[in-house]
Amino acid sequence: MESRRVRGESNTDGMAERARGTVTSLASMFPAEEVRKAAERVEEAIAEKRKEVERFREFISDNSNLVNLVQKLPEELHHDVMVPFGKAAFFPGRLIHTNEFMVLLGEGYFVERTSKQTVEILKRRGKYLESNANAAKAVVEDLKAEASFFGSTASELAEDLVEIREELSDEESDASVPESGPHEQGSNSYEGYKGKVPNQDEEYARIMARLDELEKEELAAERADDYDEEDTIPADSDIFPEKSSFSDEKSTDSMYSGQNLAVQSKDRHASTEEILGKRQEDPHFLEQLNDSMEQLDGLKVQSPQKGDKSSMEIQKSKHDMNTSRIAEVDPVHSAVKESRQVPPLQSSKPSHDSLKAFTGSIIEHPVNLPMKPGQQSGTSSQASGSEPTKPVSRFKMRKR
Amino acid sequence: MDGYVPEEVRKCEEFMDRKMKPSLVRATNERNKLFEQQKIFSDLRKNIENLQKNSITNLRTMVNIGSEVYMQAEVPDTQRIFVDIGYGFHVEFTWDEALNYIPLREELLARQIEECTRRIVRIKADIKRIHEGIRQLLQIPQEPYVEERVF
Repeated sequence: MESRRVRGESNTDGMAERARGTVTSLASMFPAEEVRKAAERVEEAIAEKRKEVERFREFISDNSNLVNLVQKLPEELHHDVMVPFGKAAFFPGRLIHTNEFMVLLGEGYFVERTSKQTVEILKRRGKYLESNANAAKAVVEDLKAEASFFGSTASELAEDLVEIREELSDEESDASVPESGPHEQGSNSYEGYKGKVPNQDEEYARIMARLDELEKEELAAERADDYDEEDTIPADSDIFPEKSSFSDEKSTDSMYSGQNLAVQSKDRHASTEEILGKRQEDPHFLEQLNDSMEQLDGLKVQSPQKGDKSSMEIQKSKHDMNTSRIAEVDPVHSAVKESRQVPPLQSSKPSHDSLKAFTGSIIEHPVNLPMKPGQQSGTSSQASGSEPTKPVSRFKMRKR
Repeated sequence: MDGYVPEEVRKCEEFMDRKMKPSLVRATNERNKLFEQQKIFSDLRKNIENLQKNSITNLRTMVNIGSEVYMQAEVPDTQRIFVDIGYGFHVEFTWDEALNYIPLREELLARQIEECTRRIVRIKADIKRIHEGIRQLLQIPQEPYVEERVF
């Protein structure tokens, strides 16, 4: 009965068309009583599991105490103790054969073991207990998440939030973003509900948007250094972000390899400014590029560390983009430092080729991208100069 | 049937479930514990009598040092026993003194068990009464009284 709840961002560019939708009050979907009862039940379950976790913790501490005891006992030949006789009486006596322990393995099987062997057995038991305790803790976490879900549902019911289902038009496909649906109160919560489009598509859209920006910047970087040269392999934004990142890298490599130093340094300054202009939200990367670019003039090699820290929302492709960026700057350094462009870069090329999926078709960023208005002017000034007639990437088209 | 009667019935049932049944369970648990204690002391008495009969002076036994890990222990002199007399006290006894004490303890336990049994019976009778009341409210015909065997 739970419809997929999606944290939606309102459409800033007005890209999504408002198709026919249905509006249903949340209260009709999740009756308040049941939500409360479910929340109670989950609370009980949480309490139970917490007790279990406590019990496991006790067992573990008992076990470790026993390990200490078993290790200490063999230090003496005899220990004077009170020997129990049933549950209600003692005899004064002594512990003898202090290195021999009889351990219960279960099912009525006992083994005689020395102190060290017993410690090993107990340590194994401790590990097993730990894994059990962790499993119980994980269950508690899950239950807590459930409980918070119920709690927020209950609060939303109180706010009279409404679920809005919209039919997707074909053109929009993934990129359309759900709208928030406040009822009469006009609450400004940005929680939209989307019936058909699953949660992933939104993140996918975000990822794609991010990658677009990054690609554009790299393209711009290439372009800035590459006025005279024919752009044989521009950035590919076609198929997948990872692959396009590698293609970017490759193109920058080849580009850098064909330049002489003076032109490079001058153009890199220009490209730095370009990137400065475009990438407002990534100061770390900007600084790092700036530094590296400036230091290139002095032929100093600086390993870019900050590329890793650039703040990006994307998980997987983020890493790839970072590595591509780092690798991008590194060949630059190597080119500058040794003025031996071909071998190191050539060696890196085949590896990229193997990772690339596309067959070498050249596809370019289209001129007017809807993502960021600030970047549009930059890209148009750059892109329109070189290849205005390249076909628009399928990737881009899908986003539209 | 008008709505008022089921309300009474519901209240009776609730009262029973919330108060009577748990008290019954608690009283039963108490009595079980007392039974256990009784068994412990009777076992102890038998063992001491055994020791006395066979004049066992020293003893080899296995002591549980935790989590079912046992260690050999030796009792060189079995003449002195420390017996639990309650409230965390243990008294050093000889065999005869112990054999004197243990029956007294058993007697006390028997009295406590008796009292617990009476309490349980009272609770059970109350539950039965409420059942009967519900039956009358709902006007369910009385079940024929079956002569049960009295053991």
